[in-house]
Amino acid sequence: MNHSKITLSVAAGFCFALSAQAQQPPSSDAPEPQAPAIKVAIDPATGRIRNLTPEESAALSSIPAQKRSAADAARYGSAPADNAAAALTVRKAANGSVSVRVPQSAMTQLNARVGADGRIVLSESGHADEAAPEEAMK
Amino acid sequence: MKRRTLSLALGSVLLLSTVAANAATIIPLNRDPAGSGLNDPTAAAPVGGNPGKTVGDQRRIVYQFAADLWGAVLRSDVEVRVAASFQSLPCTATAGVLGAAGPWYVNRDFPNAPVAGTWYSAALANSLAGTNLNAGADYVFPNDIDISSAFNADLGSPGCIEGSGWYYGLDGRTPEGQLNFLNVVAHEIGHGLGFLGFVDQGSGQLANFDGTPRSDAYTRIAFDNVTGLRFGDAGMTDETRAAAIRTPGRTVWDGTRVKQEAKLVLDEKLLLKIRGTVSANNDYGTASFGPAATAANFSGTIALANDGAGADTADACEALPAGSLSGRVAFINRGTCSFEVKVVNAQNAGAVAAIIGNLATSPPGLIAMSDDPTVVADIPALQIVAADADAIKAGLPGLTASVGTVPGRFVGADATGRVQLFTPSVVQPGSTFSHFDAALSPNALMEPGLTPTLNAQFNLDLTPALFKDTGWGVSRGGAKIGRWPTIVPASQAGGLVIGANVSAQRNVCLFGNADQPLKYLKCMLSYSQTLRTQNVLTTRESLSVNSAALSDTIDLIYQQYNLPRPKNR
Repeated sequence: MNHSKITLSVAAGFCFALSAQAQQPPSSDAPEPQAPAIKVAIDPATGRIRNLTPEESAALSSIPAQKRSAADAARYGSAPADNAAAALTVRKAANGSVSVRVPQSAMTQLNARVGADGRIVLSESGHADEAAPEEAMK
Repeated sequence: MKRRTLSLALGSVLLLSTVAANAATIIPLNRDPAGSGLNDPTAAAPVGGNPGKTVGDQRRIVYQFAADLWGAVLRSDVEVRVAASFQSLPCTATAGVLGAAGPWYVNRDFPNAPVAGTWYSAALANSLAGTNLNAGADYVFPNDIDISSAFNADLGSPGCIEGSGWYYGLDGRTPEGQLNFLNVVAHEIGHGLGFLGFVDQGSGQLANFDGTPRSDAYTRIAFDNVTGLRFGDAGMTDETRAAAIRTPGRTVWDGTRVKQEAKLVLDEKLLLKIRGTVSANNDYGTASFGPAATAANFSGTIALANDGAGADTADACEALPAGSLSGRVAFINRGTCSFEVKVVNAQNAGAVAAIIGNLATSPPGLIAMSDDPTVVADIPALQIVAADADAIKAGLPGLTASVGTVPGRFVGADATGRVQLFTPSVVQPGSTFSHFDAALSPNALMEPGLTPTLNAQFNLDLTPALFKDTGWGVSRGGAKIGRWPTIVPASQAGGLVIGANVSAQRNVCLFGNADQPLKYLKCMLSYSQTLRTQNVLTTRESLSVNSAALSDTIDLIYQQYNLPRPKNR
């Protein structure tokens, strides 16, 4: 059923470029937060598209997005980096309606690091690893 | 096909429903600079119904097609603006980010908001309010959008998933190793339209964009099968939400429309059927060794394994007495040795199949039993959770086991028919929670994985139903070509979007023919005939498409020559 899958991820409403807006705090020197996104892997032996493992997904997420030129920043725009930055974009209308720009940090980031056993370990920002095995030998 | 038949039947009924708003107009806004991305001038041969003659042309045509497809399916009187671009995204030689999209703004407590204090993606909020809620001084380039989307510009080039590449055809015939751009764009625009929840996947906290945690249109309908609460319910804690989105199968969609249409879309589920002193239909984990369990190979009287050794005599970690399980389905406790060793011991004692039951001390949940390279099992085996295992052991002797379907149970849905969301035990940012579960069969557009079997040009499966649950109006009436209606439903229960496809074809046929109305008409008639030949359209539907295309062509002629329109046009 799940053969030759392309692994997808949602973007939680964010673009990638650096902010061109004065009210959007991330500086152009800061690494751009990784936006969740569609990811795909290819089997080099068969040339077939296949599922990305969680480890591969995490490893990919650890690759910093390229910094963008000022021209690109102006062209593509950028999401607020986090909730605090998003709060600066809140607008309240007289009728009680509220709008806000969606922050990039609305979804947590999964980081990858190489553990003591050489395997990639997944961890979320601020949270201990608690991966339960979904496949087991016994 | 079941889906086609049932959908057509229901669609004909729903055809009569009132359309409260017009089909949405979704506008891709080309953000790329001249000479690259959507403006790539590299020559390209037309492919799969995409008439573009440059890479940029073909990319824009697919983008527009996906936008028009969704636009025909959803209702809104406010245009949806989608920033579109190709950019360099993280990539390696064997893996990479293909693209991303999502809402640019969210809104709450606007006029006609269905639920107070709840965030709605901008496109949905605007549709519900009937106005662009974000228009104002800040709604200027590049923030004059409702959805942002970007796709990988380097795919297939050195260092970025080498050997792969985008497929820009509109016919779903994606060559091996290539990626169907239309499916990916349709998926990503789906997220931008609101197929996502803003729960913090680490802490489980609801979206806190303005100093107060609040639910959102998607999250509020997510349901925790352990507590029996929706994610936005007052009794639902952050910790419980966090646990629910880390437990496979635990979080489901509680919307009525998806539940109704899941019956039309999902395959019937195989369950372990226990009968006798106990009657139960159990979900099970599968084995990567031995033959897959089927109705044909998994049936018989259950017998408890007893190896007479160790702390647990039912763990089958030692050889079992010869013939002790002859013709029986062995029941074995999990633990101590590998799954496959247990199954081999049962097989050697004559068992025809094996059930391995969790103990209270086992890791909870269903798992995939992996292969033990030291042994080879030749009989089917299943794994069940501790509660189900305990019930079986309490009912022995006097039980039979078989594998089969049960009315009302579907692959990727819980026992009540709610469709599962993607909640792997290891959080996958951007994937977790905001997709249907990867367990669905057949695969759905909004799963975390796409397969070549997807054909977004014709089928958006359960996604329109989910949008309906969140508050979107979904068009069931005849799709239009230009302003002229056809009798082909824009969308049908079960997710077929044949009418939307026909509507989207208009801009494909206008490509290069905008000032040649007769060529445009020829293209539309040819497409209608192709769909008729493929039995996608009935003869009557095809005729209505032809008629609408002809009327649209006349409009184009009036427009081209700036002729005053008669009062009846």
